[in-house]
Amino acid sequence: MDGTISLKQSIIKEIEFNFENCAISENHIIELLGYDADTVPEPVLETIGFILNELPNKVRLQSGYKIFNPKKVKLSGDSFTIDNRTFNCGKIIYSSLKNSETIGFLISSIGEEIENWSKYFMDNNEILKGYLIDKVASELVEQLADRTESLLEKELGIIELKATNRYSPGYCGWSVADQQNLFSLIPEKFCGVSVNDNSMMIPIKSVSAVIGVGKNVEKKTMNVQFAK
Amino acid sequence: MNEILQQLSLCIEKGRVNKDSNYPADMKGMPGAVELTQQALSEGTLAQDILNIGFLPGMKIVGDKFKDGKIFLPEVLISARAMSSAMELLKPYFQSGEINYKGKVIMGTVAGDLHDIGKNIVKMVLEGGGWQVVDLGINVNAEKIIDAINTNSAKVVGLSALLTTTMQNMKEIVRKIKSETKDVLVVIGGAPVTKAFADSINADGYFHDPQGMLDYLNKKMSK
Ligand code: B12
Repeated sequence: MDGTISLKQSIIKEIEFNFENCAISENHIIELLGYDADTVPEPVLETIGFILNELPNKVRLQSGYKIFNPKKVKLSGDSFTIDNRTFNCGKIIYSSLKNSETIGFLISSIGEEIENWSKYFMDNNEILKGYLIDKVASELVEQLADRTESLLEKELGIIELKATNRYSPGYCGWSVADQQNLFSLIPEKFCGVSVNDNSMMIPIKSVSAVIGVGKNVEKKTMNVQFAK
Repeated sequence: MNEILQQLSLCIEKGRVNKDSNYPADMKGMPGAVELTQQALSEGTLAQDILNIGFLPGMKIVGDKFKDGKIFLPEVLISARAMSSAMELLKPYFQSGEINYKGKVIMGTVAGDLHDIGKNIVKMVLEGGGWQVVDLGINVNAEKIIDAINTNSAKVVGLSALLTTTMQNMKEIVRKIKSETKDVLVVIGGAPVTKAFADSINADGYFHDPQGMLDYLNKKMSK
């Protein structure tokens, strides 16, 4: 496949990841909570073990992306336009996106069941379990987004294109309200995710982001990204 | 008698539920919050004293440690679990009116917002501080809240939001509460909320953590 050909149209893809390659480990969660192996209280350790054991049955790891037809994308003045919808992403994000030839929109979600699982414990006086499930779920969906980003980069590499970091609406001065327009550019319920009138994604454990795509874009280390 | 309550307070602080529990390791085999509450009740200790002298000081220590960064949230939840297990035994006394909560708080995540966990933690901390919480759940609008204020004769409302977009819905809710009820305090919180935003929509308070709200309510009540 030739890069110039594929970029004359949009690319859309949905992927279901399997749980086996997830890098959610006991130690990692312990660390996220602020503990180390010596300080973590026994009930926390025990609960994490229980959660990680059940987790594969409680999640569905769905991701997807759409890379827009470059002809429909314009970047200028701290904003970008896709198909006549304007996104005021703000200075910081714009400075990373500005050399892009097109924009990709990425979504990851781990599904709704895990919310019910957490809620079940919350409602039954097992708030530690409920809380830790929520914490693990947040981490899992972030990791899923990382995996999706890597996969996208790899696929772009094949057609000799590069990608910027991913930027989520709601971060770095970009309004979450722009989710409305972003979601209008992809099929309904893409990856099982929808957005309500207040720009909240359902299921809750979902992440959305845009990514700049082109021959002359680059990925920055996190520090550089936020220092600016 | 006082010794039992002191011991009870320690069990709450350490998160010791009952005598069968292996946690914490250094209290193995000792009675937990449940047995000590039973014992205190059977010895005729007033339920109100069990709450005020046993439960609340234990939770207060935990709350303060958390605020000072000495422990993390899971430990607060471990203590809360010990407290709520023992609290079951006091339920009849609340129902009969023999003990009173400090007051009632109506809690909810605002309309358009489905994020549960922050609100649930606030609820748990307020309950651990002796307040009764009426939890309206997620996605709640002004009508539902005002209804709950009226049916419960509540004087405090706590509202939570996760995103800047759903946070905007707090404005209308606060306006309606203020225009349709009297002397009801509205406290707001959640990741995107700020003191400046709270002031701009006429809310009575903003706290970035539940302990802040608890301290505020306790102070208000003692006035
Ligand atoms: C974990 C996390 C996620 C997770 C899980 C989300 C969830 N809540 O389940 C994931 C990765 C899925 C996620 C996704 C998104 N997130 Co997010 N996320 C966070 C993070 C890091 C923590 C939130 C959390 O769950 N904390 C744990 C709970 C226990 O805390 P809490 O709910 O805040 O509640 C505590 C206090 O706020 C307070 N409190 C809460 N309510 C109340 C009420 C009262 C009365 C009081 C007194 C106190 C109080 O007490 C609680 C206990 O301490 C925050 C940043 C942060 N540090 O807060 C961003 C944050 C909430 N996310 C943000 C954004 C933008 C998003 C996304 C829109 C990004 C995107 N485009 O994908 C999505 C939206 C998801 C959706 N469904 O629409 C923004 C929101 C601000 C904004 N711009 O609107 C934040 C603030 C980050 C930022 N930019 O600064 N997110």
